[in-house]
Amino acid sequence: METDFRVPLIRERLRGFKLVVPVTSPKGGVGKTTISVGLALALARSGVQASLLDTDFTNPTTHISLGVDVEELMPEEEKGVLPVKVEENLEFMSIAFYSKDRALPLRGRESVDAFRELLAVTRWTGKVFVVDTPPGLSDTLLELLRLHRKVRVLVASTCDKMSIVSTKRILEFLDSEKVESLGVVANMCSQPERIREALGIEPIASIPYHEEMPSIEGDRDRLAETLRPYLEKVVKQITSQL
Amino acid sequence: MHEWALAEAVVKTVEELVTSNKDVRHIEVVLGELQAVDEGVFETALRELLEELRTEKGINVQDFKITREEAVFKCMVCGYEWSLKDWSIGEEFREAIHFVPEVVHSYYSCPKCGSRDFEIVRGRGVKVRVD
Repeated sequence: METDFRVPLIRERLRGFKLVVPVTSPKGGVGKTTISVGLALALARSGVQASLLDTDFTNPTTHISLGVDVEELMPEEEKGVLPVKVEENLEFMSIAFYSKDRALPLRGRESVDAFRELLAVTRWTGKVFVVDTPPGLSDTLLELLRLHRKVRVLVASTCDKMSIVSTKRILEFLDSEKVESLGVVANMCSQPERIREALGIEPIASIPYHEEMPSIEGDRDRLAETLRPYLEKVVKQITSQL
Repeated sequence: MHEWALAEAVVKTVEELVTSNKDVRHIEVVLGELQAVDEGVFETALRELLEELRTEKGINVQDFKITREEAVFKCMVCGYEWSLKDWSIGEEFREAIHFVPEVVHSYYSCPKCGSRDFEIVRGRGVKVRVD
């Protein structure tokens, strides 16, 4: 019998977290990475030990938003791999430490292999695991749900029609899989009521469009300061579950 | 000591199989050429961890063997197949590929047509067979 030897160790490592929070959306360009980074920083700066993983393997950008130089840094090896300590209470891992900023064309099975490899060898120490996922009902989201059923998904959505339909789809999917959601973050959104009207739910957070956002990506302090007030309710909901 | 985590994963798998009532007598660990796992370091870690499994959890594996598998790649564009004899992995990329073999796609391309859309047919990393 041939078996994927990484899965039992991955499950054990994931059990080390009190909460696993994939930030997801079937649609691209809605701000998953910015929300993931904002949430991880808000948690860390509230005193919660947070771990952040970029699972957008073919186009990792979380390190850019975090201001981490992957050309210079390489995670340390110690009975596995230690995630990079970005600041007190925040550790981070990305395939970009290994692929640098080169293109990484992977097909589905290879994305799953890369994901399992990183989950198996990375020795996290955080309590909340924030996972930035690629657009779509992605391999990495499906893998995470298979490997660890106690996840609380945070859905990112803008307020345009395409994004709202996409959000409806993922909420239906999560419901059918009996996976709990933390809620929907309405991002770059001046009319969050459109989400309420279309989906019958109140967004857990509503972040308006910030013109200066592209210029502050990479500046952790400004990013944290800008996003934290909007994400307070998400942080409270997470900390209440720890 | 990334090899330690790989050995730990193998032992965790054995433990899970045994605790779910599967009979595990022999383990074969196949080391894929691409990941370039240090066999000596891996074997030492595996022996140590299997001994811990025996003393701490009473799970005894009679025997294990380590074999190697040549890495073979196939281009998804032109269909060409090749091995590491046709590519020599540069020293500067070895560490990255050792940790996550898939990043080979960032550094190498098909020797015939130059595409980076290729698959790792075999010899990627560690595999485990138990009986």
